[in-house]
Amino acid sequence: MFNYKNFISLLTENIKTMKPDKIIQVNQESQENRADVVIVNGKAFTYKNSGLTRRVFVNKDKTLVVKIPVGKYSQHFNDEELECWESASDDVKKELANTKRLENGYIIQEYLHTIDDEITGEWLNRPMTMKEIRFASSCRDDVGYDKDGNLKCYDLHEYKKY
Amino acid sequence: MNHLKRKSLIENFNSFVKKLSDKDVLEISLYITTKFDSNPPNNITKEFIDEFIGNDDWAVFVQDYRTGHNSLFRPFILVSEINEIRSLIMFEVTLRFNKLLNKKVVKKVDLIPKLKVDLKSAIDNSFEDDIFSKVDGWCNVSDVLVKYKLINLE
Repeated sequence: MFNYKNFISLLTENIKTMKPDKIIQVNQESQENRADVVIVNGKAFTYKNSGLTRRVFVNKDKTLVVKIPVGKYSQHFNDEELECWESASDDVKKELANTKRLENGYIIQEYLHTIDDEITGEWLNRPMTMKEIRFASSCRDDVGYDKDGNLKCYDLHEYKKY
Repeated sequence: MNHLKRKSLIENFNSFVKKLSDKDVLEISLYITTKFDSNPPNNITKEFIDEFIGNDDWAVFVQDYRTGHNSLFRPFILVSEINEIRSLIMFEVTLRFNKLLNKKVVKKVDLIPKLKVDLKSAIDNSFEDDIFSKVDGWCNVSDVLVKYKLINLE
């Protein structure tokens, strides 16, 4: 017959003597997360912006950005974004920023001239079309123009959310 | 609303309404604010809705209206800036109405200096030996008043 009392005492004793390999704090942060500049493949990326889950760094040419999770718990946002990009159809890919994975798990995306940037209007040199305005609203304005002037969303969690 | 989006919306709106007559602007304004529930849209209104609101969002908006959802309990957020667009079209109607009204007022205001000059001239011509002739004076003054349609002596 199963002795419940013995089982509990054995379990409690084991837990007391267990030694974890590594304690991961929920709010643990990477060193890069606190940096103003990160080096990726020998090139410097400077801090651009940050959201709730990731910080964004941009290279000098403004052609690429690196997204670094704010904490270990937000790494899956990068994973999700990459997986969705890789499995997306061609039509959807036209509306999302081109995404690749770095060796350490961070993701690197094409640079977008975001609509919240003051100089984007001047760079674009034309008003946004009504279709673009609606697309931007549907992505809660987390959008920007690629080098060819196509409007794309840079945050998977906001993509056509509304 | 994002600055670039708002600026673009206004530019797009202005270039669209620039080519429209006062009647068209009024028709669009009336349709998207009140008439949409009972009357079909005309072609220019259809074009306006398609361009600025999007047919899908417009259908949701009308559906919301008919089912009695208010802004607080609406099932989902509309992508298009319907309230912004409705404000813009109503502002355009007000602007055009003001212009029309202003034209009429300006015409009347323009007449006043001429009337003054004509009346002064009529009075000046009514003196005989430095004495004002009441009969000729009234005739001259009444001619001016009739000319400006201020009195009718027939």
